[in-house]
Amino acid sequence: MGNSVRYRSFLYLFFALWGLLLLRLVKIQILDHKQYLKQAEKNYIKPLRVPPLRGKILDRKGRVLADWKPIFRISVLGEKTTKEGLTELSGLLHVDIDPDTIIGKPGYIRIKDGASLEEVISVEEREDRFPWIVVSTVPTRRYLYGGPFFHLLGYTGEVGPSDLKRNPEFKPGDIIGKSGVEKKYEEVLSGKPGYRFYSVDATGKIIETDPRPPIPPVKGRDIVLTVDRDLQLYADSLFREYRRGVAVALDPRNGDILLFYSKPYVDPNVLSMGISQEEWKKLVERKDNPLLDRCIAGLYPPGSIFKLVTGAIALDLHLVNPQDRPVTCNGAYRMGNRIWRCWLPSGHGALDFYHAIEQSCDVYFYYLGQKIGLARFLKCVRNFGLQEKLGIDLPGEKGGFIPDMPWYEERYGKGRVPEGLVLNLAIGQGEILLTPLDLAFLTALIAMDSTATPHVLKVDKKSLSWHRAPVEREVLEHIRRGMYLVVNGEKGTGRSAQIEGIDVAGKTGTAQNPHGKEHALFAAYAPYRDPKIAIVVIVENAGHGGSYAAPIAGKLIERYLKDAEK
Amino acid sequence: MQKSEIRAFIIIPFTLLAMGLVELSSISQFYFERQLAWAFFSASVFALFSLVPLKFWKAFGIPIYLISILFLALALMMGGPGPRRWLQFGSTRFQPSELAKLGYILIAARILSNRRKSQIALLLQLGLLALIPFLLTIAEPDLATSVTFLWIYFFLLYLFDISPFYLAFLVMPPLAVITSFSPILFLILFVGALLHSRYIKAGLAYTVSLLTLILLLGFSTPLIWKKALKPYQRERVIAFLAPEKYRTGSGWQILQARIALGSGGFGGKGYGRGTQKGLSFLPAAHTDFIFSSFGEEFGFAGSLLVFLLFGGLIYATLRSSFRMRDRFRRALGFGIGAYFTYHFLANVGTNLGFFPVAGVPLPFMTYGGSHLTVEAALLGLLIRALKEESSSYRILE
Repeated sequence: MGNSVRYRSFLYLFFALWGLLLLRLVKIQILDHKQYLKQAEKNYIKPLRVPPLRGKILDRKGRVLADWKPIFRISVLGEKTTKEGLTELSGLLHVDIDPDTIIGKPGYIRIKDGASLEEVISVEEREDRFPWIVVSTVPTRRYLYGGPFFHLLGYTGEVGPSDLKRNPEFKPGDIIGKSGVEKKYEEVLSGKPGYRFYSVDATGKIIETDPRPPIPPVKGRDIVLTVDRDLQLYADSLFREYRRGVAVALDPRNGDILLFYSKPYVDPNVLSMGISQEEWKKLVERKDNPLLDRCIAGLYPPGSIFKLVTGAIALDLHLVNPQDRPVTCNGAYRMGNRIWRCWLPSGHGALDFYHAIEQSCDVYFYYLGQKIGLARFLKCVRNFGLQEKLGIDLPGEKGGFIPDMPWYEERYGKGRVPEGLVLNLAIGQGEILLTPLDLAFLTALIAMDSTATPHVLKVDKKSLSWHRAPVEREVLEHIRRGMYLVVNGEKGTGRSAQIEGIDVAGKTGTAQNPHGKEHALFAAYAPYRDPKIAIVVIVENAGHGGSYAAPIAGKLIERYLKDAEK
Repeated sequence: MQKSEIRAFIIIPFTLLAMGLVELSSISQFYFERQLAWAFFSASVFALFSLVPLKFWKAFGIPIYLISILFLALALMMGGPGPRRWLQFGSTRFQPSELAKLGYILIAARILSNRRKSQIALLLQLGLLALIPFLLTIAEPDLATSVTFLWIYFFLLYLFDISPFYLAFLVMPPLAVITSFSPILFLILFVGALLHSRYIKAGLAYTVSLLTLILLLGFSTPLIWKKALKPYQRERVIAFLAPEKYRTGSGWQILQARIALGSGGFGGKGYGRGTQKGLSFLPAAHTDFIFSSFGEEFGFAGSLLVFLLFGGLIYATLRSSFRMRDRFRRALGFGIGAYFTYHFLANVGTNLGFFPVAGVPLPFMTYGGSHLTVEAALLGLLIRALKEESSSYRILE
């Protein structure tokens, strides 16, 4: 047994202190209760959250794409509101107010952003009817160029229930990035809200402003993107006569995204001011899907652009000599007892590798496909890694769809997968689907042998991660020669992309589309011997890639390279 | 075996935990859900500590202590500006100082269980082991947490019969620091030290060195106060002395905590009806001031229940520890008792305005996973100790 004197004295000491605290508790909670209650009621200080300035978003040359403008915000002190008051207010401000979500709720609740001067005056004139109201001036997001930048920049909006759950720093009514750059770089851009304090009386009327010193908001940080404002706007003007399409360009030397354009789009200024649920539903249900970022989430059959991959695989496996003419195209190709047609019914005759790319001869690539074989073809295609997301710094990216043998076996049964499937895949039709970003990345890879992960935030070169093409270097040189001929050769399918004074290399594509006219595709890079830009243009439901997508790509390349010279 | 005590160690903490969760759900659904997840985790920690034999924990105390010291040092090194109290693991933060409390109690109990050690050896070994986490936490800076180690250290020595000859050296210098601002209190301390030396019939060397130490600290403290303390630390102490004059910062919180409690009255405002929590009044309603926000909504009746539950828990801990024959188990129990007494007194004392804003959790109730997990471990150890004690007791009889 231990020393009972020490034990007892410790116990007594503790309970003496315990009792002392208890006495104090009695004094505070029972004896002085009335005084403290009065203090709690009289001294009603209410905090009003002050939104911070969101960081600006700048283009690669420091030109502003998104900043802010002041608007009127009207907030009410929930616990003091009345049903009649709110109904009247709802009429004056032309907003729907659900009284159940406001009456009795503690603290200030935002009910309208962007009230007009007339509305503010009409409310302030009736001050005695709504003593619990506060009008404040707050900054809101402004997108200087609206729609064309929607898919890149995204938009801002009020935090949703899931964000509130995820982060206790968020409070209802806070504005956060909802998509695009705004969402991805929310933490950098957002800054920190501050507070102002108001003493209010029993009706909620403000009797003293700043009884406590306000906590000033902290401004968010500006960010600089890799895109070029003028190129983006120019793309929008080139797409004027088309309803749906994509243009993505990047710098193959470092993965900088130069152009990130997806049509149709909506005006982020409108979305950021908040739209009704009905309008939102309409947007979501629109057939042309303006909320879909086609650049990174639109999946397209790559069409003949994929012949570049087929060709690279065949050369890498040494199945064909690029100078040889292994097959003669008379407009069709026979395998077993089936016939596959070339897009040119009269046939191309016997072509070498470069001219097969130049004229996009289907028969030549049917032949290569057959030599590679389905299983090997799928394996080699997957080596390019396009089935994974590339990891661009934007939310919502999709990986390409590249099936593997088990996927086919599930559909056809083991050992029953028709070998002829490879012929369709070899010319870019069939099951394989890629995003425009995948195609631009592929083009950059061919142009440079290796390239960096595409990104929209301007970053230090050291922090880039690099990818190599999974084929030998000289293989890519053969591909590039073919691409040169596509634009510059006598019978090239992409001659409409030619530019005065700049050598462009490219590849046309026409993707079959079960829902209507074919999609026109064109992938290119330039200058041929010193690549500075890789670009993909897709015009949905337009027709042949050479006729519709290639001229747009040519003009964009020209604009970018001429601007860069300045 | 004392069934009633075992029950006390399960029912009382569980009730406190439930009360804390109720108040957290009133403050924010977010805190409530996270704390509920921590409660389930802590329950499994409790089971682990109560099922594994104590001799294992006796050995395992050393690695726990060492790891916690390592983590404390890591938190200090990795943190940016501002307090460096946490280590980030994925989405959860962990406070290594809480683990250090468990480590210190285990390692101290192991050393105390060796009955052949001299008093001076115990004093120095336990002192050194307390000093390391003390210094690492005070550097974070987290004064209130760092004092935990000294508190446990001192009361373990006190309960384990260390001679007043040494204890005076432990107690008097801190008292000299505290009383240095009041000449009268300082004089009383000085005379008290003198009388103590006479009473224990100490030699001249002992008396002179004790008195010199007291004088030295008494005169240097006001200098340090002005020169070495950070402004916010000074502000906290000043605000504590006159909260009404300092309506912002820590004084503001103390005043608002009192208004919260006082306006609650006898019966409280009712669940979810507290008006003091929230930014303008009690920013730390879910952590340091959960007692006040609970008291606001559930009144004196609710606060009294908290007092009674903690009184019962601490009484049961100390009494059952005192009855243990095995030195390791007794030291363990007393260490745990010291932990609960300090946390209760420091936290509730702060809520009632006795101390500057301290920052120690109220066991089982405050939001936070680190302290809850450690408290579950401590309870598990206590239950295990009781079980092993009663079975060995039976064999002896």
